[in-house]
Amino acid sequence: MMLGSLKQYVEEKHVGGSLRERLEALGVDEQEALCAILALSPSANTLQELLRLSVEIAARDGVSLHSVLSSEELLAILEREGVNRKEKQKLLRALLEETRFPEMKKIRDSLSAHQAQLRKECGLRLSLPEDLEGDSVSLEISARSPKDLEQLAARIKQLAKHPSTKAVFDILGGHSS
Amino acid sequence: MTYDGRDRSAFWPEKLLVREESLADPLAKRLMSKLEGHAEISILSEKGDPLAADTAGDSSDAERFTKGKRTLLLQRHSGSWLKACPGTSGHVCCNLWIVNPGEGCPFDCTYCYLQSYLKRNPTLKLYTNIQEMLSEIETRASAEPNRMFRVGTGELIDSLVWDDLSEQTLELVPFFARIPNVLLELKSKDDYVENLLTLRNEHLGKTVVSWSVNAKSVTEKDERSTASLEQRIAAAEKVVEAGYRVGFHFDPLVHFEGWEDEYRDTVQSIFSRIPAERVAWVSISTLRYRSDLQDMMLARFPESKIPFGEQFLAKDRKIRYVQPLRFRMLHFVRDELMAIRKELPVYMCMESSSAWRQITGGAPVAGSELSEVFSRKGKLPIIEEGHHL
Repeated sequence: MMLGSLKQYVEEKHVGGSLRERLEALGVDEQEALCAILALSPSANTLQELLRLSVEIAARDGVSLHSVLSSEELLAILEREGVNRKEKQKLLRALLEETRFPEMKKIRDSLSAHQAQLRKECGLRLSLPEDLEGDSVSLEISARSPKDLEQLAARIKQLAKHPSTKAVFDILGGHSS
Repeated sequence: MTYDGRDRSAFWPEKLLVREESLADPLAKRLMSKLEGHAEISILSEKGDPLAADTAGDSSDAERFTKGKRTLLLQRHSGSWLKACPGTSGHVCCNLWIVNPGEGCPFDCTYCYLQSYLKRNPTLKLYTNIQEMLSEIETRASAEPNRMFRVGTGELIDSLVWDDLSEQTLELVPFFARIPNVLLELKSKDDYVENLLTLRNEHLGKTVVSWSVNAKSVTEKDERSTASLEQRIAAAEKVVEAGYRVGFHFDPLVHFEGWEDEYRDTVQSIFSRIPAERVAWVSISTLRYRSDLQDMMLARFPESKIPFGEQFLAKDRKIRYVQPLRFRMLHFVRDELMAIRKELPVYMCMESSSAWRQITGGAPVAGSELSEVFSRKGKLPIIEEGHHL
């Protein structure tokens, strides 16, 4: 049986198919925990993704779905003041993704930190291969004059020697984490 | 029937279905005789897979697949037998040729791709017209005498799992010994090598017996009914003693907490008992599968942690680990292997050219220790002292 607020969400958002089946199969305590997320009025797609991540975390860690949905970190986001509901949805998703894929998160964070360092110190943005597949990075440059190009060449040289550039290649190539 | 402490009849079929056309074939007669009293034997006149998706009622793919694991169908194979391994688009391919003496496997590995590949026709099958398979191999090999054909039988079936019943290796091994430019690779997670041992003077170095190996905890939790890692190594030790070369496939490498220690242990366990110079090749590859396999794994093995690893759905609809993690695992296991013997022929299965650049420094080159695996002409295998082609 569905709790009132869940039933209302299902009707309002015209939820059907596998998501509806999944919601109907939830226990009362799981529905209660989920209702706090429903208060953010997520789209059906967003809810499906949040639920999928939560279910996978629970299965991997051998804990109940209720405990994932009522974790301290998750509740802290829901209760955070001064953050609108869209932002809270994004934060929830980020938290669940980080919990579900900690190694991937570590890799991406590390790459982002090195990219930021390069932007700050060399003024150039190194782009990573899509989905981190492949061993080449790219660099987009634009110049208004030959002098600009000369300056860029100097910066590229600086970038090539920067430890963060080596670190990016090492991470992509699986040489370090 | 017990072999080295393992009750093999535990994964023998409960039902044996024999097509009328196969009744007179020696393989069918042998299986019917050996399974009499163990399996319910029926003669089948109608065509098609009895558990096919469109005929087996409203049971789910997962239910039908599980049922299929206990039913063995003997039939003749029609069409061609020998084909080049399809590989994966954009990946470096090892030039393996494959023949399928049957399809499906009574073992039950969580990650097995057959769960998606054979889900519409899940009944286990053995083909009874193997002589035709051998003829086709011989014709093809004779037509290209300068080309080396490395032929594997372990793509859709475990090469040894039925050997106590079918005795197929007694035909295959002497056949491959007779043809100069073919090499047989048997690939298995089983430990039944009794028939192979009787052929110690007949294989002439033309059969490589290889095992899929993994971290001990993966084998224990996710490779149901298979021989343990210890039993596989013991079987490898026996065939090495009988003069065969062996191969090992670290496939799929699975990421979990403590994976480094466990894969290091597996490498050490193997090479503490198997001389590295008797190893024809070792392959390494990380977990990857088609997206529909995820649903099968969840439905059939809800207790397994494999579907909840760090893999993601890539653009080619395959689920795999993100590249930096994948490469880290490949580096690690390759380094462990190369530390055993730097000439060990270690190759990567279904990996991109960027993986080859990053992990090994470049694609395999002619004349390297990987020539036998990658060269289309290949070198002839090492022949045991006293054995002649």
